[in-house]
Amino acid sequence: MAYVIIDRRQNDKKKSSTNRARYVRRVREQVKEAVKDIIRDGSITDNLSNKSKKIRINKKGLNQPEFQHDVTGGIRDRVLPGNKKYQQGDRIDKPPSDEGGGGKKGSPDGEGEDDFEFALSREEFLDLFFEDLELPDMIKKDMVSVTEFVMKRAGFTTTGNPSRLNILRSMRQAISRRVALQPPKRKEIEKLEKALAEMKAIVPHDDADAMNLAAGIENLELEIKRLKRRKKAIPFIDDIDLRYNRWEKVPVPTTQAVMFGIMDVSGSMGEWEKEMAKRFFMLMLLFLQHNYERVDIVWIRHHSVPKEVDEEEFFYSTESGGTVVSSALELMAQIVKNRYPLNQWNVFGTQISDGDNFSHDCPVARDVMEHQILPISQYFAYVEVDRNGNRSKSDLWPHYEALTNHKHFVMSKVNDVSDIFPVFRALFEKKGSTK
Amino acid sequence: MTALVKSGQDWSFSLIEEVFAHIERIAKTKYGLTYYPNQLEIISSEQMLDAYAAVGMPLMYTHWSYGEQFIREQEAYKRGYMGLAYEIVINSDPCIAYLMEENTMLMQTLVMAHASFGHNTFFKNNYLFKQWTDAGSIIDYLAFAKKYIAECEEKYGIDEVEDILDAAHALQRYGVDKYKRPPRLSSVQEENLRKDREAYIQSQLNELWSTIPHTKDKATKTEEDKFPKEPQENILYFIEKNAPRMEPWKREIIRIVRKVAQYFYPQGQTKLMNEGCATYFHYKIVHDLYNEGIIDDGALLEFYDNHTAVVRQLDYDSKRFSGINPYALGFAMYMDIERIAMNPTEEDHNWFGKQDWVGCGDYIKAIKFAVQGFKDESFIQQFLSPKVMRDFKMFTLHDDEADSKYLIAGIHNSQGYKTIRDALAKQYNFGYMIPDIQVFDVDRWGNRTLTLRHYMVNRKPLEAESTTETLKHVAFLWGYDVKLESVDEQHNIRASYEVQEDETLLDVFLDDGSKK
Repeated sequence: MAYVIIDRRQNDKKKSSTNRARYVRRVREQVKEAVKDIIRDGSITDNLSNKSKKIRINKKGLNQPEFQHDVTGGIRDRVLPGNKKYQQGDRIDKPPSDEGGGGKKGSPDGEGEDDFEFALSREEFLDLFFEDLELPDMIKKDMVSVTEFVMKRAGFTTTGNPSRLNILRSMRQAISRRVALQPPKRKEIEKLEKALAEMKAIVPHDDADAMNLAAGIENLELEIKRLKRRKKAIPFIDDIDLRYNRWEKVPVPTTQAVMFGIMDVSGSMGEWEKEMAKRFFMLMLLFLQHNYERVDIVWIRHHSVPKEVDEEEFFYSTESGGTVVSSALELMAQIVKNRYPLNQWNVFGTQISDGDNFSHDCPVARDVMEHQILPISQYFAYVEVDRNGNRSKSDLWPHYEALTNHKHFVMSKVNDVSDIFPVFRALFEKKGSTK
Repeated sequence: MTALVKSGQDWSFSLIEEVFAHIERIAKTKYGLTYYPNQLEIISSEQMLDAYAAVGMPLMYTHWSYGEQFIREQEAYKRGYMGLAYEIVINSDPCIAYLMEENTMLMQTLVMAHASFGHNTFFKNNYLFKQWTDAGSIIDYLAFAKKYIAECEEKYGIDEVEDILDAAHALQRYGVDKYKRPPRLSSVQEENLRKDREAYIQSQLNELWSTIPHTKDKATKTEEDKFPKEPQENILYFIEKNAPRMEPWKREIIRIVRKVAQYFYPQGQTKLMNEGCATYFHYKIVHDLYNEGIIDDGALLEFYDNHTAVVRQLDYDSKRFSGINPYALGFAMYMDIERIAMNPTEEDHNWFGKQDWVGCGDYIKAIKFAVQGFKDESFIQQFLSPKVMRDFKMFTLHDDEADSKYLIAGIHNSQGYKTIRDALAKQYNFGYMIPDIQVFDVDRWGNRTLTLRHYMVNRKPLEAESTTETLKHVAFLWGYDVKLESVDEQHNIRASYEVQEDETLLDVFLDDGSKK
């Protein structure tokens, strides 16, 4: 009996991806909630890592119901293997009724039957998370550094490498050529050959007949020869039929952005304030990474003197002093000038502070912001953390407030952990028809 | 000759071909097996996971539940809770068996013997499969189904299609003809017939529902008006043909779900026999290969390692016990049939009486007899011997709701054998395990309520929550109110469930008169 071995390993491996997407679509609302929880509770490093994110879904309402017997009711006999001590007629206690008579199978991993955990890929995760958020429309997305190329299909050519032969196209060309040239059909030749054979089999009555016959045979033979030659001259597939896939090198623009995290570490900023700042920076970073292929981060901490530091130092180093906001902004402008040419980089700034500032520095800060920072920034967000929410005005707030007509500038206040996400959303919410 | 298959050896295409030829030779000459032509497909573990999720079929229509299944398997696999199946085999002509890339050569040998010959010969010869499934056309049919459903999604939207599929899936166990044989069709015929069907159903429906007010009122309703005349067990079929207002494409989708359920129907009823048969033949064939020197000692040990894991039966009190392992019991029963055919004991003679195959001296004939003419339930009734019951230390637990304790109704001794055998056979009886629910009545002249009846067996009630959830799906399909009554053996209605078509109002009346 015949058999076949087929190597399917090169086939599509993502056969289930449509079904998987359907499932995620179905549990979308639940997944979205879970995603928010993760962002809220996760650490920065966890959220930024490329690891897939675990999502726990409650399966209630997603079950596929079927008519079933109630496992406790009525009479039933069950045959079980592995008897050790029972004798016929023994009577044994039933397990407590809340266990459903032992009929419900516990899953081996001890997970509840209603709970279901699975991992979202980073892309799925961020897509859901940043759903209906967008970067403000003044982003210079077009300003890009061209560094990479990809090959793209671009029609067909008549010359090329054999490995790029497009069989379908080539055969189509061959067919139309053959149709146009109308090569003799094999059947036609066969018919003539049959006629020839029949003619040859005829025994002539007389000489005239024989001559006619010979002429006929000769004619036929010539015709057959001609047809065969013609048929041979029109090949099944010809060089001119060949079509090759054409590929073109297309530059891929890589978009890049730099984010400046500016935080006040003066004595007035406590652990709580820093924690809020950290969360906000994290969201900002995730969002930028979602939108740009390359994102650089510059951390600037400042009291009276600004300093560029790494993430570790930014969040954990203890240092404090007075507050001069303008100095940090000046440093930012300086760094941009030195390292991030504006024709290649989108610049984002996020400043987090409790709003304390030396009063004489406030107008300076505003001035630096307006004339040095905003002209070079795509977007600058100022977030003021105010734990008690009872302070009506900080030192800095009124000065920055005057800048809010600048469309590159937004500011907001955070009073509680739960504010972070709404504030973030409010800053980046899709705005009607800005495009 | 040096052995072809050594322990832990990697496979290669040439090696697979060579070993396959040996297996085929043994299967044909020694056992005289008949089977569908074989198709072996080498796949990666990822593809194996894919295959799981689509109920094992090479192609299947899209549905979220398959996605959920896939995610579940994938997670379990990733966390190491679950090994992948060594093989999947598809009841088609040719018979497709998947070989996983990661398997060693010995495993590939085992899988070929198990799937390409064991399962394959079962598919080809068992009467249920012969009668109920058409191995030649299933792939074609699924291609048609997948395309049709994708087209519907495009035309009517994913949500609309999903609603219908969800509802039809809820009833798929009630979408099977148990006594009638479905006709064989190819996918082209299928498409042509589909169009005829659409037109025809609509005309029939108009007939059925042309209720220009009949003069009779409810009180004078006669037996003649009763519709359907006899209770109908194929609920999906009934709805497909008779739902008062349902677009034709929805009827077609119900039909697809029905057809797929019908295809899988024999597999559910022969799980024990089928796995037993495949396991029996891989066991025999691997030993034949060993005796011929085709596989070496190390490879045989590797085989035992896998084989014993497959046929392991956990005791009822083990933490991981999940019922009787069909591989274990099936394998034990076929081995036992071989033993009884060759060397029956006194006990076997007493137990089986005068049956041809007992002590006939031709075990291959006995095995084939078992493979061909039975399903799990009758297979147990016919072939389960006291020895196997003893080996498994089986006992019967009698659970009566009215009794505060369980009763051990029988154990593996001479008084208990019959009790155990009968109880075990029932455990494999679909009609007994799945609630018997049928279409009982349609209020044709009134508000078109569809009444289903649940015929209770041994007073077993329905589980309330899943029942009402399922009924909602029925009501969605039917388009009007739906009622379900549980009727005991004396025709008393013990419980009744009602779902209004708009799915918001739901009453459950239990027989004690209380309202839930």
